[in-house]
Amino acid sequence: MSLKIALKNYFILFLPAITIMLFMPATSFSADIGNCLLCHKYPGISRVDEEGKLKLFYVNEDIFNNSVHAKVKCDGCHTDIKEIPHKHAIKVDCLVECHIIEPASKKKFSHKDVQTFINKSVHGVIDNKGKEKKFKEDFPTCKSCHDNPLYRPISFFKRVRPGISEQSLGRCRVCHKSEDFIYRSYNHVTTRLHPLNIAGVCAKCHNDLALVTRHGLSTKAVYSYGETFHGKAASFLDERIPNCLDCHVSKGESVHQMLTHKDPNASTSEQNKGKICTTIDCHPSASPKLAKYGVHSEFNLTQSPAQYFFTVFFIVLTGGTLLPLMVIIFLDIVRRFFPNASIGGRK
Amino acid sequence: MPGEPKRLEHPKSVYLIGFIFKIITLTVMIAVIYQITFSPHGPAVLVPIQKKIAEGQKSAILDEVKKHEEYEKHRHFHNIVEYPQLPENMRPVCYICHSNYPHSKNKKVRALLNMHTQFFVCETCHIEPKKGMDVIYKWYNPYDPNPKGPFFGTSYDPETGNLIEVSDYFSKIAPYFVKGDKYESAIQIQDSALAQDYAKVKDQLTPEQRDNVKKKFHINIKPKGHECKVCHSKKSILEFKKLGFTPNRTVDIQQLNITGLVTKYEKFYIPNLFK
Ligand code: HEC
Ligand code: HEC
Ligand code: HEC
Ligand code: HEC
Ligand code: HEC
Ligand code: HEC
Ligand code: HEC
Ligand code: HEC
Repeated sequence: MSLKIALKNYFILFLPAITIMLFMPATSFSADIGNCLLCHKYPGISRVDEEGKLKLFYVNEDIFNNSVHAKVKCDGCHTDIKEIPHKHAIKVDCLVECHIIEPASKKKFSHKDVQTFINKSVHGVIDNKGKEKKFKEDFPTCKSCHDNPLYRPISFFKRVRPGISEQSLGRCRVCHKSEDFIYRSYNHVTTRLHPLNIAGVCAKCHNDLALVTRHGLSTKAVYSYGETFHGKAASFLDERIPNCLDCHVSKGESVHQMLTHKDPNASTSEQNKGKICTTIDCHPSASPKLAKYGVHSEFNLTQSPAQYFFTVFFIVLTGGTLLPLMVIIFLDIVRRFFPNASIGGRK
Repeated sequence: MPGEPKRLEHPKSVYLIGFIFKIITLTVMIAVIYQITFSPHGPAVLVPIQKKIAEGQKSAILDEVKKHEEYEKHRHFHNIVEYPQLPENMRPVCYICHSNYPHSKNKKVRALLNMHTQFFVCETCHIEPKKGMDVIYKWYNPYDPNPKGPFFGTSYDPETGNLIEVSDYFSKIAPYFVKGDKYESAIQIQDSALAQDYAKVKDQLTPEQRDNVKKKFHINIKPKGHECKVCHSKKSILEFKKLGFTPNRTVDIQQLNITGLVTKYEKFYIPNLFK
């Protein structure tokens, strides 16, 4: 991960927690969490294991209550913990059926569908011929991309900005009475990661040179995103800037269904990529040829020759003009400090 | 033609403008040089040398520890918050060699013991009582000789039922020896004479000498800390009221009142723990 993005991430990671606490209604309820927090609320509950690795066991209650999982009890996910003091816990299965009822289907809720989308995508371990792909440990699981997601609501009322739109809440209150319900529903629908945070998620793998080479990808994608205009604009905290998903997910599909650009169905395939740029939110009046712009170009002769020569030309141009100028300025300074100096005694 | 050199007779403003222009050119020049030498957008002619230097200073241990910390944040899934830390020289001497997570041997309680280092200094549990000298426990804050609180974990927020939020991150309960009507701190911090001296010479000591010094730091320290029931009982060595704990919080700490714990206590660390 490039340092710049890493630092930014660090900052942004904690930003939502702070802003969310500001927006939290005073009546915000606290999930009944079966007393696990009796012990697990203390940041000190951690240890160094037999191999010298630090393990953290604490859960910050305020932050947990502002995560999308706030209504799930601890033992909804940590299903094996039935008694206290408890034994070593098994790993959480993200696809477990939980006690929450999905309101539309009235069935118990599970994330199983997300996995089917991932299986169909470039991140699935099985290829479309039913064979296991090479280096299968490189492929992401839910937890490689998701920490417990925090609410990061976005206001769309007049202008796109982070935070909750009070005007929108007013519209909710026309029909709904429970402040808690309104608060959660608003968050549920509008919560979005910041473009740089999304990039940060992908950076773990897509900036790892060894992985990129192993899989025959042509670019450290997050690095090159950060180098080009889109990534740079995203650094200035604007929500409208396209993130990885805006380009790599076909409109209306699950964000988990990204395809390789070699697949003709991919949004980024040669045929389709013109449509990415010209969507109504981005460059509606542009010609589809705009898609020739190298969104992932690096300063690299084989990957992007045009950009390479363009940059070299400008280096030479600037350097070529300035170097002689510097020489002249230098001579001028010398003369000012030593007005009477001369070489070889010439008068 | 001979005589005064004319070229020095410019008006003052010319020098100012000249100066500004020089700064600008110099800045652009530095940018160009950076572009050519180190920037990832340029030919990066000096990057191989930079890499070689970095390689010489690289530490495999440091790299691995950092990588693991990063990994652990994500493996943990629940989001991590950073807490403020004391600067090195304000910490008790134990932290020269131990961390906030010193306990690892006893599997059942290691993480819980580490948890207590958040509100206790080590000596609170590890102190060896001196003959004829009473020990009392008070809040200790390295920045403030008389910390007023409210302190961490001493009362509940009536609205949420959680522990109250506090702005005092550094106060911990620490032991004091009673000398007449004076209290003498039973702990040492890192700018004490012994600690500073040790920091100065530790690289010159032989392993045997270092072992000796280690013993010096462990004077008055017993290898096993207090048992749970020393505090978590009605006969607690801590005077909860004086320490500022509210009555309902005191009862909870004394009884550790959750059904699972009380009925299953015999499986836990020490029998009779929660009686
Ligand atoms: C009496 C205090 C206490 C309570 C209450 C408690 N835990 Fe723990 N828990 C611990 C300790 C101590 C550890 C660390 C054990 C170790 O050192 O390996 C731990 C570890 C864990 C782990 C890490 C997995 C492992 O064992 O390595 C999970 C997950 C966990 N607890 C979940 C829960 C859940 C869920 C609840 C509530 C149903 C809960 N805990 C209640 C003390 C507690
Ligand atoms: C949405 C599901 C979910 C909920 C709800 C949840 N957890 Fe977790 N928890 C996880 C996952 C996933 C991990 C990552 C470790 C793993 O894969 O088991 C984890 C990790 C942990 C760990 C660290 C385990 C380790 O091995 O280091 C502790 C402790 C823990 N949870 C406690 C809690 C407590 C306490 C609560 C209730 C406040 C809670 N969890 C609620 C999913 C959940
Ligand atoms: C390649 C990385 C990746 C993997 C693997 C992944 N996700 Fe996601 N997921 C994302 C991104 C990125 C988003 C969009 C987040 C946003 O825009 O706020 C997302 C969104 C979601 C959402 C919708 C929430 C929202 O805010 O849009 C859910 C639910 C979800 N993921 C669950 C899962 C589950 C369950 C798994 C494992 C089966 C999984 N994800 C695996 C990257 C991933
Ligand atoms: C755990 C590692 C991992 C993470 C995290 C990850 N990816 Fe990937 N991704 C891969 C691997 C491995 C491949 C190569 C798959 C192959 O070899 O077919 C890949 C391939 C891709 C491709 C297809 C490239 C092509 O051929 O055109 C896209 C697009 C992609 N990833 C986008 C993303 C985005 C966006 C994210 C972040 C939300 C992300 N990835 C997160 C491992 C990861
Ligand atoms: C502005 C749209 C856009 C954005 C934003 C974007 N991509 Fe891409 N990406 C593309 C297109 C189009 C391609 C197809 C190759 C090409 O045309 O350069 C591509 C190709 C890729 C590839 C395959 C590269 C190869 O040739 O092997 C990966 C991996 C990838 N993107 C990951 C990402 C990640 C990760 C992010 C976020 C940090 C991201 N992309 C952001 C449009 C985008
Ligand atoms: C100079 C480094 C150093 C300092 C300072 C230090 N320790 Fe230690 N300590 C060690 C080492 C090394 C061990 C483990 C070796 C051993 O078992 O003797 C140890 C072991 C211990 C043990 C376990 C004893 C046993 O016999 O198993 C306790 C308890 C302890 N230290 C507490 C403390 C406390 C409290 C302080 C602060 C007053 C402190 N230490 C300061 C180096 C140090
Ligand atoms: C809550 C009381 C308590 C506090 C506070 C405490 N300890 Fe301990 N410590 C114990 C107990 C009890 C044991 C014995 C554990 C066992 O059964 O092996 C112990 C054992 C140890 C051991 C050796 C056994 C092991 O687990 O490796 C070391 C080293 C140690 N303590 C260092 C420290 C240091 C350093 C601090 C301060 C940062 C500290 N302790 C604070 C209670 C405490
Ligand atoms: C030196 C006294 C002392 C010893 C010894 C001690 N504790 Fe504690 N413990 C405390 C105090 C005081 C608190 C409350 C701290 C606070 O919240 O500020 C506490 C808190 C706890 C809590 C959290 C309770 C809650 O309501 O937040 C648990 C669980 C716990 N101790 C378990 C243990 C176990 C198990 C042992 C033995 C291995 C032990 N303690 C040894 C003093 C002690």
